[in-house]
Amino acid sequence: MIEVDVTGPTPPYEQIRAQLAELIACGALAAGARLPPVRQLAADLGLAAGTVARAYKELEQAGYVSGRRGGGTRVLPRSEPGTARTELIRGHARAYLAAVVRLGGSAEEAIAALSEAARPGEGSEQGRRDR
Amino acid sequence: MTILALAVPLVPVVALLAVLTSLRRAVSVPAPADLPVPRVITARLLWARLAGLGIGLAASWSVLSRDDLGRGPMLAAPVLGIGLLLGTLAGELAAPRPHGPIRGASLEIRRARDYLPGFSARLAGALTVVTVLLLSITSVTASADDLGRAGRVLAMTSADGTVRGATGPWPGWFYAWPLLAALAAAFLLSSSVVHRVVRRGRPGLDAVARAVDDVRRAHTARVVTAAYGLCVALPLTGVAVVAAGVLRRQGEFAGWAVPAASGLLGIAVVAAGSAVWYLAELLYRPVVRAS
Repeated sequence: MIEVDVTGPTPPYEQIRAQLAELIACGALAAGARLPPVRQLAADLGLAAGTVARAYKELEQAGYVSGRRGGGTRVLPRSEPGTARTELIRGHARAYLAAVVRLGGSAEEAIAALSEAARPGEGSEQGRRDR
Repeated sequence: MTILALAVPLVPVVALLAVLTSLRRAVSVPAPADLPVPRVITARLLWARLAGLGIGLAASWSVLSRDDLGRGPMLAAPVLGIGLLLGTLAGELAAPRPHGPIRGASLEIRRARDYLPGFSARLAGALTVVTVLLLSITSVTASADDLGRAGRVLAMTSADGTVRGATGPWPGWFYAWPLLAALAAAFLLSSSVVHRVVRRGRPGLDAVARAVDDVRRAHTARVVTAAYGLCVALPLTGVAVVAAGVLRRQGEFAGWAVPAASGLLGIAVVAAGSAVWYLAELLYRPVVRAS
């Protein structure tokens, strides 16, 4: 699943590109997997088709996917997706900890908040609804 | 006559089967199904479809009352179906787009075959092929009538070119081209609606909203298939019955005419049964229940 904040400073195409690149790098989108058609993803996100098309084009140029006329956009094989996944999770953890510290919190408070958020019914779904 | 005797019990049996199948179709979703966005979509789809049905009925009545040597009654069902398809397309186009500052999308790939009812769609395809083949044959064999209108009668000629008998109305080019044009329009409209059903945005990522949305999409695809099926099945019934009648009257001039008429009556029975099936499909409305 991907999410786009249309009011954020990062352009929507870049948000889509970055999230898909992460999913591919960590192996969540396996080699050979098809990405949704440009128009379908654009309609689901309420964005122009050109926005999604630009994200796909940049992913293709970076070697994450290959697009073929009539064959859709498919994920290309990556080397050691497991290592990339671990690195990505660590990176997100470091960013989260830095945000908590910026607010005057401690590492213990960050872990406690994370444990609370991970409980059933209070995970990301709830977070999305709150926003 | 044997085929007609078989047809009399067959059509009610098909009707009964269709109604029984429809009654069993209650769809379960994971939790309470009364969500605001799917409710809006459902209401818009229903009102647009009813408006399309109203327009289709009015246009169909107008076409029917013109008669036009039998072309009016032949085109009444396709015109009604086209009205319904237009309404369905309008409803799908009016479905609300995802909005709000934060929007999500799953990476699913939706395809037409995920929503189209397999049996009804294949049956509609088969009926279309039969209609096109039948109209091609009747057009090739048709002759001009006594007023010079091309493709209106079936004339039997002897080896020296003498006309031994000419009977009409024969579904030649005079009848074939308006019907084929109406069917082409209905097919294009159906394809547009199914394309829209697959490609329109999801109203939400919540599991219940997705389940309800999938039910609505599948229902629209069912309505489209049924509307298109009626566009084909009803005129095919009429064309086959009329052509069979002409062939029976020409039986004294050609030995193959009577067996061919029996074959055409068989086609008419299948087409009439299909029309009943599609009518039941049109009347079906999915019942969404919380599991």
